[in-house]
Amino acid sequence: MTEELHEVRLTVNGAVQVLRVPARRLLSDALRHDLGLTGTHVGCEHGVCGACTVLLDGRPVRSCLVFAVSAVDAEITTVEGLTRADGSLGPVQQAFKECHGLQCGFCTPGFLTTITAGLRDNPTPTRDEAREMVAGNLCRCTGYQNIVASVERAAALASETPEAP
Amino acid sequence: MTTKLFGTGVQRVEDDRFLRGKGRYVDDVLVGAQTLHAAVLRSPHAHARITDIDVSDVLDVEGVHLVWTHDDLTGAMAEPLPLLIPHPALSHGRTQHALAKDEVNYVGEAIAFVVADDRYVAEDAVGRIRVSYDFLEPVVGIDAARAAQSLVHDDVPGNVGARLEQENGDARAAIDAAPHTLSLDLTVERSACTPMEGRGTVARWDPDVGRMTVWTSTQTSTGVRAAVAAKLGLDLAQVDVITPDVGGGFGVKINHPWPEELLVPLAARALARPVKFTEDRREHFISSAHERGQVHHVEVGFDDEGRVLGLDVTFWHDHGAYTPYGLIVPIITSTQLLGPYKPGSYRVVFESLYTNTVMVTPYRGAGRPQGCYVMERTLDAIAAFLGKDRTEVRSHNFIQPDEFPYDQGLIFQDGRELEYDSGDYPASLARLKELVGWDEFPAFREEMAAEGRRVGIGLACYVEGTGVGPYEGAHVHVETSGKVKVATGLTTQGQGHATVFAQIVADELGVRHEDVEVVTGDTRRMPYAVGTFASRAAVMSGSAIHLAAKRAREKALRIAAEALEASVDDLEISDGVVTVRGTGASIDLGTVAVLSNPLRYAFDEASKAATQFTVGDPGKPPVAEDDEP
Repeated sequence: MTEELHEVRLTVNGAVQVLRVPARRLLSDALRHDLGLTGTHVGCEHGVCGACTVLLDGRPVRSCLVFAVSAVDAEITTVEGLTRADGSLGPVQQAFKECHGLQCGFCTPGFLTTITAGLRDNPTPTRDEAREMVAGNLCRCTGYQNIVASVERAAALASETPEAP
Repeated sequence: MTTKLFGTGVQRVEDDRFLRGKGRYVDDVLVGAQTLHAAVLRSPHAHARITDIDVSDVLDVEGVHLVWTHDDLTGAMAEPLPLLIPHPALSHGRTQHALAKDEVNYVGEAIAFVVADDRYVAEDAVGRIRVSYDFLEPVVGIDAARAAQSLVHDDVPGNVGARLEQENGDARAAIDAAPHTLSLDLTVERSACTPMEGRGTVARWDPDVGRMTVWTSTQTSTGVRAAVAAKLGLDLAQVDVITPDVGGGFGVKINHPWPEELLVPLAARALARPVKFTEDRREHFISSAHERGQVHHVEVGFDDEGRVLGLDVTFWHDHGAYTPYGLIVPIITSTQLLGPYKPGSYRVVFESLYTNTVMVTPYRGAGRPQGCYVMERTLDAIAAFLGKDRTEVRSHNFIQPDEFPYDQGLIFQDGRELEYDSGDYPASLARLKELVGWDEFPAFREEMAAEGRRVGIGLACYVEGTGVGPYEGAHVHVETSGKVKVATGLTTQGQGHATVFAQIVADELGVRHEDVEVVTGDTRRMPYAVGTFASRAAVMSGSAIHLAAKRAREKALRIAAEALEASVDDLEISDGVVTVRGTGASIDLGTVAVLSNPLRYAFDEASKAATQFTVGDPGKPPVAEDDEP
């Protein structure tokens, strides 16, 4: 029994990647194991924790619930793609750093991608909206206070530098 | 002058890496086709005898390299896993096998181990293993365990793994003689650590040098190293255990070795290929340890002020199917229950019981929350009975500031006397009441009631025995570049050790924070350690690092004084440069590092610079007999 492999062209962080994977290969596994983009983390493998969130055409999705073969036509952005063109931290990343929005760092990539998309939809969230923006992501270390503060700080940083995120 | 960093808020040095997706967690290690992936068949039944395991279909699956059951294990690997912390009261300690032998005792217990090209194929193969069971009555919950109508282990009567009693004074007599008495029955439900990253292990065997490298998501690298060496029949010196970034621990990763922490390196050696196991969330729920489950019966006698004259606590602790971590959890419950209070007399007895559920090992607080809950409920009950303010009843029971050091007359989990060194509980309570507006709360409650809102307020006091020993070590090394490399053996799972330990070293050694690199949990860099738990890293490793940095500073100053022909007392170190006060003569720490090393080849700028200084007596060896480079 040999698994049939499919040639898949994925556009990840602006670069086209060609790989051959079985139909059942999860996007999260394709990113991590086939492309070596290990910044995307897998916390639950059933769409609950949000750690594996990536952007598909700018929209946050759980990469553990998407097959790699079904992501062929999309522009995929992972945490590795959130830095600015000059290599410095993007506004959401910078805000997490300043606000101590992370401890062990495992859930962080999913928060960063989720908030990047959230601030595009709502560049000036209230505190309640900031909390709502991260309501679909789990963090076990921080207790969320500094993450919510990071959302607000990211909004401020993004408005100072309008070319980002 | 270097700014003092200790006590100053600094941004974490770890974060840049994490924020760019450049963290390196265990599943990020050895990514690539060369690495094989493991999956585990776990029992779907709480209690059953295994009558047959048929793996005949498994090796037919393309991409499967290995399938093991207990029958395939030999020597120490076939024996039960270690009982890490024995105790005289643990008369019937039991641990599981790496793969179940004849019987399963909880849903999730490992039965078979498969290694394949990838995890998908490995799980396909697991699905083809056929196990035949004879079902046994499962024992679930403390009531069923106590009733003992069926036994978890045939040779453990009453399902009782341990019974431990401690008493300070005569609690029964004190209760009998007390003006008032109450009794309470209290239950604490089970819960679990559930870090965002589950368990995981990667191993690579290097046959050329006979060396095993294990990366594992643990709270104790040195513990896993010793276990791997013992179980695989390797010398300790043949095993390196590296704890990469860890996505949370909360206690569950202090228990070790997990079956996979042994099976993965064993398979890596057998197959001569790197092997990786990454626990999925379902596996974490069913096969990684839980905590908390206890039932308490409290009897208390007290006076008109609410002063506790006698306290008698009996509790039952559900430790699950096995006892790999001994009695640490219930001992902490039984001793730390007293918190900041000094009952006239105290008796506590617990039974640690087997059930057909996943084992219990320490989780955040490690038994202390249960004890705290019981004591605080008891004091609330006394306050309610007497119609007194809850803080007043607590005040009457506090150990007073002039009574320290205070010996509770009990033996703590580390085998030592439970003696409190210091504290001012009345002042803490007064501050707390002020902060939360305790005295104003009744008025606030009425105000809210008028608006149709019902509000409440509660309080709890506790004393936490943390920073437990017995030891940690540290290594501080100044490179010839002037960069400082620090290693301590305990592990990190988000605490920011690389930042805070660097603060300690930067201050002590007089170097820039960014010039200090800290490595934790890597047995190649520091092979002696205990582990990260009980809020002990800053106390134990922080202190060890401080002492090591002090010694490095003393040595640097001694060498620099000689090189600069100055007195040690006239030297200061700032931003990595040793300067003679007043004269401006100076030498970089990197050059000092060269001078402390007899290999004086001019391999870099620092060593070229070192040639202009003279250190030591040319008639004697360059490194004194009582010194080291």
